[in-house]
Amino acid sequence: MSDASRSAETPGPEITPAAFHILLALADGAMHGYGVMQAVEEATHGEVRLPPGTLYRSIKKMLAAGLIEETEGPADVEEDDERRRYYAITPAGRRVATREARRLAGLVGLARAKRFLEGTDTA
Amino acid sequence: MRTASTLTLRRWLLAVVAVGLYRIVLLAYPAPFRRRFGSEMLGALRRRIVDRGRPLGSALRFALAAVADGLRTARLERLERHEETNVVRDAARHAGGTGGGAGGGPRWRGPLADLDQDLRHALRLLRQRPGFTTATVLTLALGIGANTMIFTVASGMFLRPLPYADPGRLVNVGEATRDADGTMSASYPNYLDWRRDQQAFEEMALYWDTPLNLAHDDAPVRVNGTYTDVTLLDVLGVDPMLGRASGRTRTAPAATSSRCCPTPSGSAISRGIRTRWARPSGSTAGRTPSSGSCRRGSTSGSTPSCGCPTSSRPASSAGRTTAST
Repeated sequence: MSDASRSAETPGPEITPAAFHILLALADGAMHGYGVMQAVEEATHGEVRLPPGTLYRSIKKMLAAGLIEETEGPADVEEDDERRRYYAITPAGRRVATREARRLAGLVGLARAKRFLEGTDTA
Repeated sequence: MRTASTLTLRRWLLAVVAVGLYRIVLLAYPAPFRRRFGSEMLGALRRRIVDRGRPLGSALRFALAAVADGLRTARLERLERHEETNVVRDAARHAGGTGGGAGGGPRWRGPLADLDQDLRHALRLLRQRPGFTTATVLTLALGIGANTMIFTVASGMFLRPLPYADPGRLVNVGEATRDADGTMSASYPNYLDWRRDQQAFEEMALYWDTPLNLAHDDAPVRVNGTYTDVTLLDVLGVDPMLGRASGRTRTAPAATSSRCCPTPSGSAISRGIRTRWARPSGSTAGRTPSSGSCRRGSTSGSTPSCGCPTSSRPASSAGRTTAST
């Protein structure tokens, strides 16, 4: 609860749900755009899909905000993947993702305290 | 059952169409965004569609969602870019520059402000590469021509309704045996029994197709003909354009002098034959064509250009039955 209050008051760049999903996908390592698209879809069991327009518009904004950066692909990259750009999360991106995760966790805690999650908790 | 190659071909076709469509959508994005991310976006879309680990229906839905999302985000990108441009121009004007234009204030250029610039750029590129331009134009011409032809065929076969009053209620009835696939022609006595005893159909009519010799003033010509009873017009829900169809009742067929073989008692010709056959006066009603070995017509009409439902079966004493529910 107190975490949620602090997070809500903490100044910082607002990120969209799409940007948060991209940061979560890139937390495992550098990926190209299609890899991010796949990772998000698999992590959310198909509930969240990032079409190319939303994905690359978010990537453009996150590059400008310094949350992600272009990087070289992994050493064992296939020939077909050489021309693709790879993106990696930056320390600033990791901080923003952590803050957003705490904010969401606080909100979930609040919802649980208000019994909005009854019947859905597995714990 | 669908084969793997059919599914692969469908997936490949879907990818070609979706990527082609998305190339057009990309034109709506600001040029810098398109240059920076365009090829990556196309590659991601293509890979997502051809991914065999996902169902084809999912790929189709994703392609449609991607196109809709592309149009939406392209508009947002353009709006943001113009806002940024206006901010820069405003700052330049306050700094003593000329970015604000002669009017002095920031000028809203609208989301299509770059369109003319993009078009001029595209035309310059096309002029500089005549070979590429020729290949593109030929490809487009072939594509449009092929699509037009395919659509014409598909429209005639699937989209355009049959020219009858209520084609969805027409049923073709035939006889079937355990030893042969499909249906075959019914005998005339069977038809009479069906017609007398059935309660499922509003009306029934018998027809069978046969080539006929049509003779009048000139040399005889070979035409596709159909023997039927007069109730066929009721079943199809059409009327003669000229003349009349006598004996159109719900009682026995018009030609029932013999229970085994009906005797022709009238004739009707299609509009196409009438156009070729008509005298300068344009009238054919009341004139009697000779068909086959008969020359005993009492009714001559002209049906709409639809003609009758055709059967590929040879003429025989048996016929096919069309019924209207």
